[in-house]
Amino acid sequence: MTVLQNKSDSPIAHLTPEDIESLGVELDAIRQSIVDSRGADDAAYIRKVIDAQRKLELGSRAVLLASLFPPAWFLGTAGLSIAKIIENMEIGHNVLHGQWDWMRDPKIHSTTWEWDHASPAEQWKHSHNELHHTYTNVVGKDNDLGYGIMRVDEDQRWVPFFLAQPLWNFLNACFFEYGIAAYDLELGRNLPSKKRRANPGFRANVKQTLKKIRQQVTKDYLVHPLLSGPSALTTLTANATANLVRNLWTHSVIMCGHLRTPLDRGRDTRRVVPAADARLGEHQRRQGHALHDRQPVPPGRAPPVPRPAEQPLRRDRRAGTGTVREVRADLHHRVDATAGPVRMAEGHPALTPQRLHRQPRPRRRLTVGDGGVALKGPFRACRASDAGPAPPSLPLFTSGRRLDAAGSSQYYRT
Amino acid sequence: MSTAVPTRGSTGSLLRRVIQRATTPLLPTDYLDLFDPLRSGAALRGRIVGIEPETRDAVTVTIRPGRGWAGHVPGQYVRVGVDVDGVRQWRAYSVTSRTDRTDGCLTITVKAIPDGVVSNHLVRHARVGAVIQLDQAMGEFVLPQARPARALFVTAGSGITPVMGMLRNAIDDPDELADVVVLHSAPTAADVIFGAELRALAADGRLTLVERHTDVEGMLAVDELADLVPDFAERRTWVCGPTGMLDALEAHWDSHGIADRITTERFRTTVVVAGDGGTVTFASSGTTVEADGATPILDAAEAAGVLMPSGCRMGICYGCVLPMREGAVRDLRTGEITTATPHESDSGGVLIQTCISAAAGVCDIDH
Repeated sequence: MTVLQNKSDSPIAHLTPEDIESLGVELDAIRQSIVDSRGADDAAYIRKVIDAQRKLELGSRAVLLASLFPPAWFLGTAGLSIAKIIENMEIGHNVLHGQWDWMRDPKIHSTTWEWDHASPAEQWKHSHNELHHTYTNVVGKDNDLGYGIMRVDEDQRWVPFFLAQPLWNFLNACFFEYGIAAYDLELGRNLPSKKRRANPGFRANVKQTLKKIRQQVTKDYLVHPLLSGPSALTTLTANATANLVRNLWTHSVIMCGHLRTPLDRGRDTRRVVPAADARLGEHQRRQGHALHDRQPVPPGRAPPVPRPAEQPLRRDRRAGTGTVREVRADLHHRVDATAGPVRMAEGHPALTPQRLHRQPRPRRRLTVGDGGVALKGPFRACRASDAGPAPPSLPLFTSGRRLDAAGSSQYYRT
Repeated sequence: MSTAVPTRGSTGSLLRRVIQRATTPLLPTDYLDLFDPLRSGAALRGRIVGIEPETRDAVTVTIRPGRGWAGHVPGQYVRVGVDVDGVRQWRAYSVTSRTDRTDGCLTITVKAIPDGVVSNHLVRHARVGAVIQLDQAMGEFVLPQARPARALFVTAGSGITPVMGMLRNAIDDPDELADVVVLHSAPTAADVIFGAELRALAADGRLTLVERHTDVEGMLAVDELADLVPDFAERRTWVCGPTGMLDALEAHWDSHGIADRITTERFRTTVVVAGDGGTVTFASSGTTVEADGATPILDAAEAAGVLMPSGCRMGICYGCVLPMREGAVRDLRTGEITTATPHESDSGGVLIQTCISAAAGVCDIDH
């Protein structure tokens, strides 16, 4: 059983287009009230956090110069762990989100910030801000969904590899920063293909990531230990421990935040997000431009891989030919997945779900952006309409669920 | 960052490299800034060390600049970056202090203008001890090397500030300005910034002061000039004040065929008026796009073939942010207007999200 499950009764099925519109208005109002309320206190807060974090890090590293002495090791390691956690979670993540861009301070800005993490900021902003937050929990789009090593959604195809999922998750937790760096590179997709491996954009990104990792490793496992003199070995173990603690912490916060049980399909944004595939990731992104004299990033800012921003999709998930990917209506009215096995147990011949699903029924369909209406915001962009039977030009997701042999097998395994 | 370039392989260079390896991904300066933001080698900043009232709505702010401050020429202005409600705002103010101050400080004199975000903050809310951002002094509104025999300064309101910067530095020197007329407009006698100092200089016979109190006498008209300063055409003239006055006096000097004898100081070279749609210029690619008021600049630019950075196209991911050097844009979600003018923005421009911003006037985007 996966954390994300398909349910026959969609919790948003009862919403009318007007309901969705008014939800959008309410959400916009919440956003606006936050935007209106921010001010000098918030600016003082983030500066205070950055100031405290840097002093904590400096202090901890200073204490670790004497890490041969066990109390110094414990104190320094604890301080450095906390400093790294704050740097990643409260400062780096939020600054790279652009949360503090409104201050117009070039030193605390998403375009100039680099963080204490294996993943280069430029690549993380792409995979996290653009992909994860635009396509949250959309299989094939959002790498955060299991990070390619775990099956957390019923719609992910089951393979025996997932039997050892708890082990993969544990390893992922221990080496989380490298896991993030790897999935920003989409190694699972790019490595197996010779053509993708040779892509200059991909190679540049790999080079950029390796450079960042080399700098991070040099700092924690070479420079600071050597500066500690006789305490070199203990400083090395202290830094390794701090990185491990940070990895475990960030992993558990992220896992617990993303995959709560039960997490039903009501949170699934694939129904309401205009997935304009052609627009993603095709441009050579700008070099992070330094404002004033700030050049915070020794790693070169390589352009990201020119690529469609997606993992390989099962056939029934591929984008249609239209400019906007059609939302899958059958998710709202899906067949009970256990129908096949139950019927078999009752002595009936096994019926595949699509055969069961052939009975025509009226269904609600969500379409995105009525007739080229200019997008006015993430929520207003979505229009729900009761379009009735599917038009013939949009056959893929409206004419019943299509499953290939492998795809249908998942229903018997869950 | 140090300006000295060490020999490759020297001890200093090796040490610097080791320190950089130890502080990556930050720079050593990021840590040093925690302890001394005004040190040599830091980005130029200043600390407010004094705020003295001049009139009911003007103050003189004394600033101790960082070690990188290169000094100024009297009459020049300095751009200051001040955080108002957490948002960094840049404005230009004339330096009014003497160049030979022994404490190394400089002063700017700020008059609160209605709805002025920065001027009101500095006049009413700024506190001693605050750190502000600075640029090096700039400006061509200075006295020439060969001092003119006769000089005329026509000023209004806070327009006196660059002139006061010149007078304080030059008036005591007998070889400097010998025959000076200052024609200054202010609503009342009490509103004259540096009023007491100017009147003392006039009483001392070192300059001729003509005060115009506009609440009683009305605004200065150009045809009154010949009565107030009969020899104005022979005087080398500097003018600083509202745009209308500058325009009128420039035209007047032009009509007398003596346009080469007048120098004007305009802080706001362009007044950005937010409209609906406009011409968007992409500086480095040299492309110009006509964008309407309902289309995101990103879409308009892409339609014109400009290769733009982009991301979620909903205003979430900040993947499309570009610096606008000059112009106005409207946030399509909220209608909020963001403007950028060269004097009043960070020197890199104001960063805008092109995916949710439509042109609200002529825009110059650095891309």
